[in-house]
This record gives sequence, C-alpha cells and structure tokens, in this order.
Amino acid sequence: MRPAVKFALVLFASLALAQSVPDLEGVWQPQQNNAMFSVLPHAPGFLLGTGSKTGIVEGGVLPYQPWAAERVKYRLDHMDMDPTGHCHYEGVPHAMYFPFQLFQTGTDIAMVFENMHAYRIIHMQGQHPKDGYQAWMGDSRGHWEGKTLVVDVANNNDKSVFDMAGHFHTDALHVVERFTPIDHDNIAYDVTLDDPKAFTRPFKMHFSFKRAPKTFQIMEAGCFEGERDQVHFNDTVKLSEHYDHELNSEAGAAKKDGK
Amino acid sequence: MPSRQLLIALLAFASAGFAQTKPPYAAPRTIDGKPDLQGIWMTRNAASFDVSEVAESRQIPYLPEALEREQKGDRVDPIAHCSMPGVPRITYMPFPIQIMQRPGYVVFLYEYQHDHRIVQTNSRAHLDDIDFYLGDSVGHWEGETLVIDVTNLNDKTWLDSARHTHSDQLHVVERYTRLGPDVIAYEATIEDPKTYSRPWKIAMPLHRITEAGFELREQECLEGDSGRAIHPPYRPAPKY
Amino acid sequence: MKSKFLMLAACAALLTAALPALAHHSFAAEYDINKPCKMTGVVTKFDLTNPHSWIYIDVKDEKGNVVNWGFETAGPNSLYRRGYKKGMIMPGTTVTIQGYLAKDGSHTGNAHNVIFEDGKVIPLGSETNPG
Repeated sequence: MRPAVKFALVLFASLALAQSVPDLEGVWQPQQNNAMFSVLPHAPGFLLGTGSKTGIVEGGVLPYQPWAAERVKYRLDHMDMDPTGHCHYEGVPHAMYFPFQLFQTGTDIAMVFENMHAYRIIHMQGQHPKDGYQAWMGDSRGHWEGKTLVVDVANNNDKSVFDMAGHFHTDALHVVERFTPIDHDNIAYDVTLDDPKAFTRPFKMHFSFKRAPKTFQIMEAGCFEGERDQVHFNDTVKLSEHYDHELNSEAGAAKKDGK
Repeated sequence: MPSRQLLIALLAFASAGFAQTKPPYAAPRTIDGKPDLQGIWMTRNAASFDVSEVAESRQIPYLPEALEREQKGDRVDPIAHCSMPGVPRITYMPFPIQIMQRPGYVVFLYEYQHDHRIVQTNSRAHLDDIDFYLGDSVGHWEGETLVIDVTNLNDKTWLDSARHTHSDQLHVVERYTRLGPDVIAYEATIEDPKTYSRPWKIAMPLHRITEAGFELREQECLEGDSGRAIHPPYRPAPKY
Repeated sequence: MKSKFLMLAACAALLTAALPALAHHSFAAEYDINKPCKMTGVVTKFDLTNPHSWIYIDVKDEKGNVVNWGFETAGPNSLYRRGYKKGMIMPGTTVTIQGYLAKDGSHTGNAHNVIFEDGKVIPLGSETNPG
C-alpha cells in the first residue's frame, strides 16, 4: 500500500475513534412516571399525584432494613420533614425527574435545571473529595464506557430524599448512573443505588429522557423568593394509614406473599 | 552614503517601532472560533458591599424621587431571605463562577446559591411578559468581547448590601473581554429611567482561580428562624 | 380574548401527560384530597411567583360576609408555556375555582381549574395534579 494511502487510513481511523464519544447535548425531558410523588407504584390521588402503575424501581420494592421501613412510615406521617417542600435541593437521582439542558466539554459535563435553579457538574477527571464534604447533589465523576456515560455519585448527605413519599437514604448512599443514547431523541437512564446503612442490598431504578421540542427552553425558577406554603404544613392526616408502607421493605413484601 | 538627516530619520523610525504598544491580547479560540472565556473566575473587590466602589466617578446618578423612595423602603437585604441577588450583583458576589462555552451558548455556573445563567449567543429575541430575578440574557460577540443584554429584571433585588435599589425598568448590558490568560475585564452599563438620571457604568476585573484542582462546591442557603439566611459550611479551610 | 382561552385549553390538553417543571412541594403536607372544593368569587389579586402562583378571590359566605381565599396554581414558567401572559386574569373578574382545601383550616386551597362566567376553563393546576 502506498504510504500516502496508509497515512490517510490511519488519520481516518483516529478521527473516527475521536468521534466515537456520543454527543448528549440538548434539552431533555424525563419520562419518569410521577417519580417525584413516589418511586414505587402508587394509586392516583396518593399525595395529590396522578399515580403510577410501575414506578421506577426495578421489582417495585425498595429493600429497606426493618428500622428504615418504620422510618419511612414515620416520615409519611410527618410530611413537614419532606425537604422538597422547604426549597431544598433534590439530590440524585431525584433531580433527574425534572427537565435539564446538558452541555458537554472534554473536562466537564454540566446539567442545568430549571427546578430549584440547580446544576450538576459531572467532572470527567479527578477524584471524589475526601475531606468530609457532603452535598445534597453529591459529587459526580464521569467516564465513558463505549457509548454510555457512567457517573459515580458519592459525598451524598443524609438529607436529600428520593421522592415525596418518605423514601429517604443515609449519607452512605452511593449512586452509579448510566446514560445510554438509544437514538438521537432518547437516552436510557439506569441507576444503581447502594446504601448499606438503610437497605439490605443494592437496587436499581430506570427511566428515560426524551429530547425536548425546540420551543422549550430552561428558564429561571426561584423557590425561596415566592414561597408561601411552609406556614400551612401540618400533620393532621396520618398518611401511613392510607398507604401500604409494607411495600417498602422486602420483609414486608414477603409477609404479603405469606412467606 | 546616506546623508546625516536620513540617518537620524531612520534611527527615529526604528526607535519609534520599539516604543509601540503590544497588540491587544487575543484569547485562544473555542471550536466555533469564539474567544475562550472558560475557567473558574472571581472578583476581588468590595462591590458586593457598595457598588459605588466600582462605579465610574464612584457616584450613582439617582433621581431625587427614587432616592426618597429607597430611603422609605425595605431595610432587609433580599438575599437575607435566600433570594437570588440579581444582575449585575451576581457577578461580584465574593464566590467563584465557572464559565462553560459551547457553540451558541455561554453558561455561567455561580457557586453562590447554585445560581445559573444560560446565555444564548445567537441574538434571539427577549422573552415577552415574564420577569426574573436574574433577568433574561441575550448574548452576541463583538470581536473579543461577549456582550450580554439583560432585560426582564424584576424590582426585588438590591445592587449590593448597602441598599442600592432599582425599579423593574432596570436594563443592564454586560461586556466580558479576556485581557490575558488570567483576567477578564467585566463592564456593565446600568440604566433605569425610574431610578437614575442617566445610564452609568461599573467596571472590574474577574481573576482566574489558579489553585490546582480547584472546583466549585455546593453552596446552599437555608431560611433560618426570623427569615435569616444560613449558609452551612461547605469548603474546609486549607491546612498549612 | 375568546381565541386566547381556546388556545390555552388546547395547550393544556397537550400537557396532560405529566411533565413537572418544579418540585417544590409537599402537596399532602398542606392539602387534603378528601376535601375537594368549588368556590365562586371576585379576583382581588393574581401573583405570578415561583414556586407557585397565587390567585386570591373574595367569596361571600352563607351569611353574606366576604372572605378572601388564596389558591395556589402552577408557577409562572408553566403558565407562560401554556400561553398565559400577565394581565390575562384581572382583578374584578368573577371566577369559579375547583381544587382542594388546606388541612389547617386556613382560607387556602390548591387550584386545579379556573372557570370563567362564560364557561371557559383555564387549567391552572400543576400538571401532575389529578383531575
């Protein structure tokens, strides 16, 4: 083969390899099945939502340890404890139930949300801080595995929650997200969560993102500025009496099956 | 053999060449050929206490009736209730700012209260009939300078903690020009026909944070009792 | 004016698939799904604020006393995307609000629909509220 042809082939191949990292940029709308109300299947009307037949948790059960399942029930009966009503950050993956615009450079990927004027910086280099730093949104470090963006989220605090249904976690939470483009307009979102202080085993969540229409842009949205609800929060209705919290634990689910 | 006069003229010309100023700094380019403003930047001045520190002639040209209105108005800084600080105050809050750039966009990620501004640089029209704390920003490039036109600002912010207020007619034009590897010149023209007798300017450098491995961290605001903002600790002091 | 309301109704139909823009809430901490309400009154104020806008109406009770009620609606960004602009609901307009009452007995509710005297409906609830 002539040297010039060889050179051209090598150049083409290296360019092709350089292009192989997918472009995930754009504005994305999560198809999240009302996960903000509960990540588990729930009936319409629960927490004034429109319900979800499947939820987003694989298997439809959150494997809480018995003490934690009781804690979920307590939180459901004391809704004032829900941080989403107090203009707090959602954390990961809760923040991902809301639309965002993704910007991608070699060193950082930014996800910029309208909700809570939040953003996530996915660092494509460096390590999780080891100085005791804890954050509502954790610390995110990303890398590519073929066409999948894999994000490791650590340094989570114990205050963010998965939804409005009392489903909490501790600061031992470790999350691994996988963003896999299905086609130009859809990204599959798979999450593995591990929190040995509250759960009996790791568990998974899944939903997807759909590309937003061009007319949809991320705008500013404040929370503290116009907040008028907190003064009305109260616990006069015990929601756990109306919701089978036993579905939150595998022990509870097994009990239901008569094992 | 050159005449004496010609020799003097040649020497004068040569020395004038050495005395000429260097050409203005041209920033490295992004993939779409725009000046690269990316990095983590922060101001170093007292503007967040009193913006007249960085104003031309250190004066704010108030209309007398506007000053009177201000003196009779609220005395609690809106940021004490965890409100967004508005524009241009968000730029000179003493916290780092990360700038990211992609074709058609400049994205400002502020460490202060995790505020952000997505600026399109394709001169799109302003949004109609909706106002924001940080306004609606439309950008375009003029040579080395990013120019951002900010409208749709509400009247609920102060320009600093010294209670310099404005109306909902506030209009700000920002200019960001990279002067060197570690400096961006920031200028803002501020006009508000209900508050000021004429437009006025502020100017300050934005300095790059050069500390190795420096990253933005999550800075949160909590509303404490009696509506006093609390910012929990989030960045440990360095160990020496 | 008529065509604006028709457009809003059409936009709302497209939005019935849940697409929450904002999370702030503990709906169940504040409102009771077992206390639906339907109230007619005169608009005194419509505050477009995040996280939720608030519509205030003067309602006459059985004794003829006027009580001012505040109803929470979707935030301004969601309303803006549905075609709603400032000034579309003016003080002095008579409206009927369908929604849910607050648990604490205050004159507060969560609005799902606003119905005008000519029968036109503007859905002002957050997208994920049930019908």
